[in-house]
Amino acid sequence: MNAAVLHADKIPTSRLLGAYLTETRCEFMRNLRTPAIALPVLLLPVGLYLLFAVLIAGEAIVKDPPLGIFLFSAFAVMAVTMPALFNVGASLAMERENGMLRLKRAQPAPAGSWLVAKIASGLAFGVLAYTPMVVAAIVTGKLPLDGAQLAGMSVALLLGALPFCALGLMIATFVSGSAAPGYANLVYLPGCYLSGMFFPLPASMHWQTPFWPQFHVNQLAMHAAGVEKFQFEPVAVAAGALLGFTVLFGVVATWRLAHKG
Amino acid sequence: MTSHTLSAGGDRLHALDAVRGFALLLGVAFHAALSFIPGMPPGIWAINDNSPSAALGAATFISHILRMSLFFFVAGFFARLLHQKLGARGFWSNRLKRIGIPLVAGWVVLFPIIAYVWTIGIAKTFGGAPPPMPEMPKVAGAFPLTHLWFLYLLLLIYVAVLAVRALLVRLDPAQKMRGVVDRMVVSGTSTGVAAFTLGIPVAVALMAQTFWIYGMGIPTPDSSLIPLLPASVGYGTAFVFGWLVHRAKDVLPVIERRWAIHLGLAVVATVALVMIMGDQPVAQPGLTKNAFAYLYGVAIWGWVFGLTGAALRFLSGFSATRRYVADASYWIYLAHLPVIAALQVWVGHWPLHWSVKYPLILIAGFGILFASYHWLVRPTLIGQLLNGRRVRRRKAGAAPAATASERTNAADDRVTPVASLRGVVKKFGATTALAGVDLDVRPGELLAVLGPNGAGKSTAISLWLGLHEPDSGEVMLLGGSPQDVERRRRLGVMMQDVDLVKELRVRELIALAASYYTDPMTVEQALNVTGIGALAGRLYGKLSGGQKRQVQFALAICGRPKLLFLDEPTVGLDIEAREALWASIRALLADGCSVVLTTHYLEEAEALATRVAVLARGRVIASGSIDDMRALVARRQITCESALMPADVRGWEGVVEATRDRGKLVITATDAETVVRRLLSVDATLRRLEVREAGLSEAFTELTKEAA
Repeated sequence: MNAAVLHADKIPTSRLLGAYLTETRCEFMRNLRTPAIALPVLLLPVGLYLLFAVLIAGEAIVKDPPLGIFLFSAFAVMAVTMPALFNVGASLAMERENGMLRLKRAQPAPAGSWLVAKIASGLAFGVLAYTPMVVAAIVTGKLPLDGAQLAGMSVALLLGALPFCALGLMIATFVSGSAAPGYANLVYLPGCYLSGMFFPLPASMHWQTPFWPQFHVNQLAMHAAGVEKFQFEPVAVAAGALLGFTVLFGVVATWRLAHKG
Repeated sequence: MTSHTLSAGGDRLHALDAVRGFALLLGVAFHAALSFIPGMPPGIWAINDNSPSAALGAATFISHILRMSLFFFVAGFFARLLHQKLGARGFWSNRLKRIGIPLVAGWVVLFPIIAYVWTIGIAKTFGGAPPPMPEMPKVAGAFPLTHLWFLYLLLLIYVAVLAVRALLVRLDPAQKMRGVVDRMVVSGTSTGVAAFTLGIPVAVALMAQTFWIYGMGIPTPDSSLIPLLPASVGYGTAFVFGWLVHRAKDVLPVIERRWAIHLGLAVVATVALVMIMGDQPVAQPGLTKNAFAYLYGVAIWGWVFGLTGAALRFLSGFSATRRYVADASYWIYLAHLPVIAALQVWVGHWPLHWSVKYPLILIAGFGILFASYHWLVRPTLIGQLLNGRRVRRRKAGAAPAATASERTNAADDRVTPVASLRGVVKKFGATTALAGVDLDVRPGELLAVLGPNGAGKSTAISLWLGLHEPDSGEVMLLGGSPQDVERRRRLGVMMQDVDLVKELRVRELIALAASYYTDPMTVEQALNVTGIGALAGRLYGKLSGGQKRQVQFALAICGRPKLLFLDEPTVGLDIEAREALWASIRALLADGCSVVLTTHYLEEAEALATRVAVLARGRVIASGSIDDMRALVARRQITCESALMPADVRGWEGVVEATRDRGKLVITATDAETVVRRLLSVDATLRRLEVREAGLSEAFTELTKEAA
């Protein structure tokens, strides 16, 4: 019960890293084994992309190649942000509700390991959902980008998933586990419509697009891909807005977790 | 929107619930009639029916006068009620759930459907060659709110009214101004002046309209986020007056008494309006326009007071049917527009008279809407969201009982405890969970913490686990603060009400828990020690309740803990599994591990505990060994078959309590011998006499009763 004993209980760095890795692997497996999350998250974006960009708008894209990038970007934003939001939000809300978070703290899990695990797992799921889209786009020839542009766009999209991780955390600190997916949809779906991500909006509705993180992710991707036709704000504004959203959501989530547990 | 039958005077609120339901359902009937209005320019409503009706035209005009003002009046009343009950924070959280979410979710779901129905209807109206869709007006804030505009406006009004209220609270701390307003509300309603003055604001706003078709009444603010002036003024007035009526308290009986007069006034004003409108449908600047606007205001308040009064007079009692309809009305109004419009489009070109088609739309529409409410909404999350639960009143904070004598065992205090609470106080809001608790856990012992629900057992454990900090007092764990993660690495914990990740296998869960510790068991060791090797590959979610507890126990011990916290560990275990778990615990104790155990099973404490501490109302009311505890309550239980009734023996000396259990007389006594002697002398037929030491169960019941 003294300093020496305590020192002996310091966990070696290798074991600490191991704890983070195990936590992340468990989180990933858990999401993969939840069909209600895994299936829509993995199949919806690539399915919708094939339907809209290849089957329905295939002809139009041949005539207007930037349209192909616009559609690809829209569904790619969906592919990376949905798991970020839903995997992180739904699983944290569930853990808060059933006491897992308290148990982890008591057990004692390294501080923040659950957070790292959820974000890493959400991003990994995003990559899983995004990769088949890239393959489909290249195979069908609907994405007129060179390698560097595609890589830049992919990085932009992945970074763009971070504010959605933060949003998921924030939602999870407000609602119960069973309600979390519902509330997440509630803030997510209007954003998909109203950000003008899927279809151009009439000018009278442009004023409200900057309120949706989707809009800025999409803009970041458009800048990375160099599609000037669909750039509506400077790249710095898009990046700044995403950073702002991440900080805002993250601060609220942290505050709520500290006060409500 | 909420269950408002929650306060004193609940009867009146049944009436207001009915009024609100009526206003909403009237809205459905109103929209169902819009396809029949003669002279409606094509392309505005989803379809123009081929059998127009002047009667339905007049009916829509009249119902439009009153339905939304009535709704906002009741909304204002309930808003203040809710604000009083829940405070500003609770109010907003409630309103965002009941109004904000339906607005956003409703719009996202309904807008595409409504747009689709409109496209079909308009194509039908124009014989397949519709004119181009009108662009949204190019002004800031343009937004197709659809019929959900009323929720949006309601939220804006909440903001405005609460802001003004906050200001007034500062400016008028002594409530002088507000007292004057209250008296004006009472006198205005009882003298009848209110109906003639409340319409003035909206009348002025209507007069200011440059283009005004009389039939539109208050133009609907459904196409912009910036609300239109007449609607904001008219519905805002209704809301504010509803709020004031709740404030002034004695106004509802006045409204109730004057229901007939107000309805009479409403009818006269409405007839005048219809007559003016018949001469001149579009407003021209001048006296007629101003008169129409003022009469419109009077008609609004005649109807609002008349209908509310009639409801108070005739519908104040509880009726299950009315309650059901009132509950359903919110959903029905939210969901009705696409259903009603689709039906209108469907029947629009049928060669039938409107008097057949309109009822058909209503019957089919309400049928679908009520069915959807009954099956899809009422029993589901949506129903909970829309209608809410009863807002429970807060219980007054339970004051700690100071009468309980604290009995602590002074023996063995020389040993340094592995964990301790010293004078710990912990409150959650108004509830005192721990009111000055001293507890020690000594090396190698098992401390059983007993007590009824809410006694503070779990709070004590959560302090030791570092999940909470005490308000005062000292919490020690392994020689320091439990906030240090290094110290907590030497704990094992099995919590109550914790569910682990259902999608992970038992092996994975143990590996994850083991990864947190410095020198844990291997997964195989943990499986073997706890005897759950057979479960290793199973998903946690597929296990039985007892198996889950076994897995949680394995997680608790896999880090080779020095101190183990077990919160109700054997709930749901069968006898065999329980014996196995007890054996594991004894083995841990033999290895020098200390254990804190909370349990409801007294035989568990009797079987395992070195010491027992009894908590009640946040205090330790007794602690000591099992034998100490029994001695503490030196009472014995006498059981016999006797002709005597409990009431006969209750007054006897030495009898604490007497009851009858399955035909036997059961007596708790301080002086068993004297009582038995007297029993035998009084009742010669007495049989099957049994005297035994009170078990821990009785001791425990006795102690907590004394503390209460």
